[in-house]
Amino acid sequence: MIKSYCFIVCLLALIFVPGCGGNKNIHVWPPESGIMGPDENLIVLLPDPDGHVGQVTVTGAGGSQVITQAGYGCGIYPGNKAVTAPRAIDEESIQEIFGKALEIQPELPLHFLLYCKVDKAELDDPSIALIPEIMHAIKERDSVDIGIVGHTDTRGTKNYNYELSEKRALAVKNMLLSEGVHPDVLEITYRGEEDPLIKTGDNVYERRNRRVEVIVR
Amino acid sequence: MRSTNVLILLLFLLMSSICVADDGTVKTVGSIKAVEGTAFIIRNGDRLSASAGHRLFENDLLQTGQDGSMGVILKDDTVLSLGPDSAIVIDEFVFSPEDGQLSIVTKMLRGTVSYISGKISKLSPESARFQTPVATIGIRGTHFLVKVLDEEESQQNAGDEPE
Repeated sequence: MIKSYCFIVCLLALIFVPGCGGNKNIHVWPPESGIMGPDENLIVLLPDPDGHVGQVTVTGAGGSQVITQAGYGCGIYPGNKAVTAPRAIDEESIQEIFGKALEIQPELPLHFLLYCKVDKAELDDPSIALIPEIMHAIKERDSVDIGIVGHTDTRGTKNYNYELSEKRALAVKNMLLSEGVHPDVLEITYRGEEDPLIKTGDNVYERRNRRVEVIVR
Repeated sequence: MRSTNVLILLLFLLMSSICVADDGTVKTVGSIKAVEGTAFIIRNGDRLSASAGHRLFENDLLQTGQDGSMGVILKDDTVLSLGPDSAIVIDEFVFSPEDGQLSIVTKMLRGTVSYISGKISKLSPESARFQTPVATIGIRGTHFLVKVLDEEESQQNAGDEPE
């Protein structure tokens, strides 16, 4: 009985002492004698470019911490590798430490969706009109890494649709080549009906699934 | 029982070696978008001067000098950038959503890095890992910054004669 009691206490201690979890509560800094300084490893959460805030779990030798708030960070002591509880890191420190890395951070890749005519590799007119925009993005970014991904709707057999999606991707490839894009920078993939934008049953016409995605990185 | 374990282990080894052979074909994992100052790619022991437009492969070590910084985009839309005196290895990168094969493992050795996660961490958060000598970072669709002290090297340097 005493043994099992001890076991439960130990288990609870294991769960709560490393301080995992929500981190909405205010943590006292510095937790020991440490001051935030150049001799500290640091992990800071920022909002995504679209404003959404995700989360990171930092696991060191001395336990684990979850950061869920943008602008919060955990330190890790070089010696004992203990991960400190998340604390607010001011903008000035972020700039001072990470300014150079943030400055050279590339823009996010651009994704374009081009739609095709039913059972054809040919693009519809509004999609053809998007080609100059794609060319502009390629030039503006000096892109040497462009993905072209062909898709179909679920009308027809899987094998047929693989071939059709390949033809669609190749049609767009040829359009970009004729605009002067170097063949080496294009990467063609095709997924048939396997990766629909809109989920449908089998044998369903759906314009939004008859598409070619162009990714300009 | 033991022989079954050995058999399973052998099968596993065989399968993993087949996978390596499959992935052994040179497949680009992304490209360098911008470089400032001194920056290198260390590939198979060769040190290549890094510049915008360079393609990247699995196991490439990206390195910046004291005046250097570098921005990179990987095939799954992961955006990585390195500040001065930084080093990071693209340890593992598999992006085949069509057959469910997804994995991104980056190992940071030192310096400062900004990381915006891409499709792999969206589709399969457990397949995206960021490792440092002091901690492992699990990623859930997000942007984060990491600073890693170069403990070992600073200790080594302290013992070395200057050139």
